[in-house]
Amino acid sequence: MLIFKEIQLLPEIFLGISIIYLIIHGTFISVNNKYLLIQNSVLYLSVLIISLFCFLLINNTIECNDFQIFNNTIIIDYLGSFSKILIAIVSIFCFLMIQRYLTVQKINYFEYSVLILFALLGIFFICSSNDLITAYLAIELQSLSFYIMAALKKDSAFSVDAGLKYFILGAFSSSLFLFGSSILYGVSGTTNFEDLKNLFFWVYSSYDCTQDASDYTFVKDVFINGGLIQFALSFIFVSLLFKLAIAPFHLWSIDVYEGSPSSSTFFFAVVPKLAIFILLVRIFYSSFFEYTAKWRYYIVILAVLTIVVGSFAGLEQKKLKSLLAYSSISHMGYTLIAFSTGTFEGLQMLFCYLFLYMIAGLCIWSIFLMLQLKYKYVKKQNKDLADLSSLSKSNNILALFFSTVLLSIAGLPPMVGFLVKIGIFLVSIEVSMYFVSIVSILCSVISTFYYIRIVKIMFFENSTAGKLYQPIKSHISIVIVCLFYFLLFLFINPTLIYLFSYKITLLLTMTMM
Amino acid sequence: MTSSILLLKNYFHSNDLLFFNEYFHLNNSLFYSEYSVILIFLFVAVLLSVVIVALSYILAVQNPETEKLSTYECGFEPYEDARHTFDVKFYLVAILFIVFDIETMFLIPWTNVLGQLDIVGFWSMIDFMFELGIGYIYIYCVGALDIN
Repeated sequence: MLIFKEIQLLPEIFLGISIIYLIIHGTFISVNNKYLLIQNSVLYLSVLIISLFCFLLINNTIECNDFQIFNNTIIIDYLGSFSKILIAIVSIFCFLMIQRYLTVQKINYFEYSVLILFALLGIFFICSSNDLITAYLAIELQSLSFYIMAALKKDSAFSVDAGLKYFILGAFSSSLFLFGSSILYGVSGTTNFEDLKNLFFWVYSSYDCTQDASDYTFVKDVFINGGLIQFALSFIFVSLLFKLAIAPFHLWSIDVYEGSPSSSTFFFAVVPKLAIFILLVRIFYSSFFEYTAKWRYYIVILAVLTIVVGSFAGLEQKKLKSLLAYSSISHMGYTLIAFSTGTFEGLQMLFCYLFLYMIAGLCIWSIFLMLQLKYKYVKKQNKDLADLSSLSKSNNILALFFSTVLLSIAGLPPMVGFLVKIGIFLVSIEVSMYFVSIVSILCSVISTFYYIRIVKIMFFENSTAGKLYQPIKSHISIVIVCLFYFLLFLFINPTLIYLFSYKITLLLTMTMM
Repeated sequence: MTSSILLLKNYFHSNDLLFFNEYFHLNNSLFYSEYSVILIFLFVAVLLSVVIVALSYILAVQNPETEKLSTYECGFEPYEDARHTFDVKFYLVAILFIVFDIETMFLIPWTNVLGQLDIVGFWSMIDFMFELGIGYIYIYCVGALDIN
């Protein structure tokens, strides 16, 4: 029952209040003479909070309408709600996976879980923002929590280094976003996405009705016909591409992913990409759609550059984390191709690919976190590729799952990664981007090499002795088994993802007209 | 003499300046009337800084010598570098000052318009101050405000 419109934001309000409570709870228990270690219990409390958030969100879900609340700065529609549910479920699994890692690495701050909750609050606000200022504030909330999460391991110079690099690059890209927003405000007088849509959705190249008023030629040429607006949009675009680690703005992500503690890298790689893409879709498909025709070709160049960089630079990586970082860079290149098509199917394939990217990323990083070396683990947290040698002899099923997920990411049948990659190439061919499709297919083949190299190291290496690994508890491995089953089942019957992405795209484009 | 100047002025105003005015609308342009002052201010500031630095470089008598350029240690030779590692507590104090200063900055206009706001406006500010108060309790209990 709707008491007032703002009750739609109840899940976020609940999350905010529980974060505040958790800070007080953690502070008053851990800052004592006894210095109790409460990081485990705070982590499980965070899992409980996110589950309750999920419940409130599912309770609140609107099927086919959208609300704009808080003076039209927050929009509640199906896209936002669905992505929030997906991100919340993925982060529940993230929390459960990192519990053992935090205990072994002796990250004893209870603030770690609170920071993850803050970042999730920021991500949820990005998913449902309808205004440039709201989007900027939510991006900053998420980014600040991520900067601290990257640098939290104070005794490791790598971690502090990664946090510093992430902070500088993230602050720079947020300032670019602000600059673009300020120019947009100067041109149009509003920061609201809905108002910008009403102003700029269809931009006619010749204003015949105002042709007689010759006083306005200067205004028309500079402001309306696209010069200044494209200038501002390019700043906003570059800022969001920085956050997604797309070439040539990808250089920070390698060092940050490698230096941060693996639990933070888990979050960086999996969770925020969907939110930033939702923001991109809201700005560039819903507000400034006509300008798509003008910048499409430049974005495609960036996408191809990203795929090439991700494929070729991953070939000579010897550490597993850097390899997964480069693979996530190349995945963002594929999604950018789908984003730049501008068609209905392109948008649908974009969402399909992002959902699959999150699930496959969750699987891969969970396996990465579960593999703990028995000796010398704490000193050497970043795995070399050679550490995985003869994993098939010590843990056959895990090696099999690892190979399957890797081949799904590479895009080989019979896993669902093949279907979504085919989908991306189909939509790019549909808009006649033939050269782009050829180049990215070839680079996809090249990147398959470093996935198969891991499979070869695990199964066919001729080493005399492999490394020993800690045993894995069964309640953690259920997550891996379920995701593995998903990846295989969705190949046979991918209706689940197709239906959700189709519904999202339909409801998004329906409100545009 | 004056008639020729008048003629020149008329010619100047008639052709070029009219075109200039009509294209850029300098007479009735808000942009020009509001921002030209700032442009003049910028030029004067740059000019003043350049003049001061240039004059001080030109007019000073410079005869550098190693003894004159070394660090001063009140009579004897300095035995170690005067700089030491930056203490983080200064940075922490600066950051915390910024946070609570921004809170004060938000309080001031709120107190001015509180009479025209309804009950939601009142409780929004109380909620904001409560959240910053939680942050303050956290800082106090963790020990970031201790000087040692």
